[in-house]
This record gives sequence, C-alpha cells and structure tokens, in this order.
Amino acid sequence: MNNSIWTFANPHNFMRLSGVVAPWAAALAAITLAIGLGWSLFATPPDYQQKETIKIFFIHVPAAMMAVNIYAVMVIASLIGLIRSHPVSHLVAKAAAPIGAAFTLVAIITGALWGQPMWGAWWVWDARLTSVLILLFFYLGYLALWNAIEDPVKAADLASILCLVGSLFAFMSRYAVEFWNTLHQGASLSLDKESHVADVYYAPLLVMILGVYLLFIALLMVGVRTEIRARRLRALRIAQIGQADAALTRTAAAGNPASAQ
Amino acid sequence: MDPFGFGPYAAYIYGSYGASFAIFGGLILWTLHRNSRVRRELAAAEASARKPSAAE
Repeated sequence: MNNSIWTFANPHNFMRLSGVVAPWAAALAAITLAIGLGWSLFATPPDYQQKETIKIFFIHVPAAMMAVNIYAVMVIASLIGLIRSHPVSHLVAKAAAPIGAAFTLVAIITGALWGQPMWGAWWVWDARLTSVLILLFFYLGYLALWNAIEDPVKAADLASILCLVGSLFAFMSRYAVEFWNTLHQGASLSLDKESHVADVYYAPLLVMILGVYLLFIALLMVGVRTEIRARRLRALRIAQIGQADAALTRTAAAGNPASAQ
Repeated sequence: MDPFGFGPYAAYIYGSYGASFAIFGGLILWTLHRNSRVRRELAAAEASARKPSAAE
C-alpha cells in the first residue's frame, strides 16, 4: 500500500511532493496561460454572429468549468475526510474553496459582460445563472463556516456536510442547460457529445483550460501547504500555552505550597 | 480607447479580462502572502519552542 494515493494523506509526504510539484505547475500555468491568452485574444477571428465578443468565451468557459470542477474536488475531499478521517483531505477542500469562489466570481462577471451585448441583459434569473450564483454562496458559506468555528476538527466535519449539501447546486449548475429550457446556451464542451465549438476556437480554448487547471493545481498545492503549516503552528501554540501554564503553577507552588493544592 | 482594436465591443472585452486579472491576481497575491506569513510565524514559534524557558 506504500505506493497508493493514501501515502500522500500523510502531511510529511504531501509537503515533500507539493514542494516539487507546485513550482512546476506554476511555471507551466504561466507559460500555458500566456500562450492561450495571446492565441485567443489576438489570433482568432471574430465570430460571424457574436463578432469580437467571442474573446470573452476564452475566459468565461474555463472559469465556469473550474467553478463546478473545483466544487467536485471539494466534495470528493470532504467525503474522504469524513469517511477515512484523513486530515489532509479536509485541508484540500478548505484550500480549494477560495480558488473555486474566485473562478465562480470570474464566471459570473464575465458572463454578465458577455450577456449584455448578446442578450441585452446583464443578468437573467435563468436556471444556469441562478444555480451558479447559489454555488458562489455555498463557496462563501463554506469558507465562513471554517472561520466561524475555532475547533478545527468540528469545523472540518460541519463544513464537509455543508459542502455535500452544496453539491446538489454544483450538479444543477453543470446540467441546468440540459434539464431546463434556458436562455443560456448549451454546454460548449462535452465528453459524450460532439463539440459545438468551431475548430478555430476549439484549440485556444483547450490551451486556456489546460492553463487554468495548472493554475488551480499550483494554487491548491500552496494553499494546502499553508493549511498544514497553520495546523502545526496552532498545535505548537497550544503546547506552549500548556507549558507556560504548567510553569506558572510550579512557580506558584514553590512560592506558596498551599496555593498548589 | 481601444489599443488592441476590438471594435464596438471593446469595453466588454477589456472589462472581462480586466476583472479576471484583478480577481486572479488578488487570489495569487493573497495565497502567497498568507503562505509566507504562516511560514514566518511557524519558524518563530519553532525557534521559541526550542529555546529553554526561564522556568526550566
């Protein structure tokens, strides 16, 4: 079992692995995103219907995709954390939440900026848009819950349950365009259906998607490293407070034997 | 002002990429800042834990 994925649930092993992976992922993300941005912004033609607003597609679609996929990562990590009690799993979910919230916010803002020229409205209470907004609230609620509870074990368990409840909205925001007749267009990319994207836009979109995945991996690795260190710092401070209390009690007992009883 | 020649929809395109860069830039800076602060505090706490206290 030494080579299994559970090896990396050990904080020491995770720190070793992430110390190597994070800088590479960050460098590759920077290169991939630079290529993807240059290609999509300056080397793609205007769409015959949407004209130059098609440029927004290259940031909106990867961001919306990551908004849902990062939540899926959080759900899996939370489930593993709840079932197997692996401390790193909870920290993965916690570190992924602000990244997912940022991607969701980008998807909503770029969607509004794309919707206004194409639909004539910044926002509509469409099933896709509404479920993504609720997903953002779940991300924020998840982060708020972690910060509201001082005991990290209790916070991890309660936040994991909230995360599992929110998975319904992540699922809905992914499949809303198929379940209901929405103003929002259907999925641009799908594993089981033919792509709706013209080839000239498809390749730069894939580069941008690869770039945001690498960015997510780099940020997640740094975030989890920070959470592991923060957990160690908390344990150290609690131990130091305990030692200081014990020292004070010993001093008081030495000065006044009656006070120690 | 449209330095890249995006035409009549330039404001929406600049707005989208500007907001995205601001959000991701903020996220990256916050992540790195928090990482370095926690690292510094942990190093200080570990150094102080290694130092024998006056009571000992």
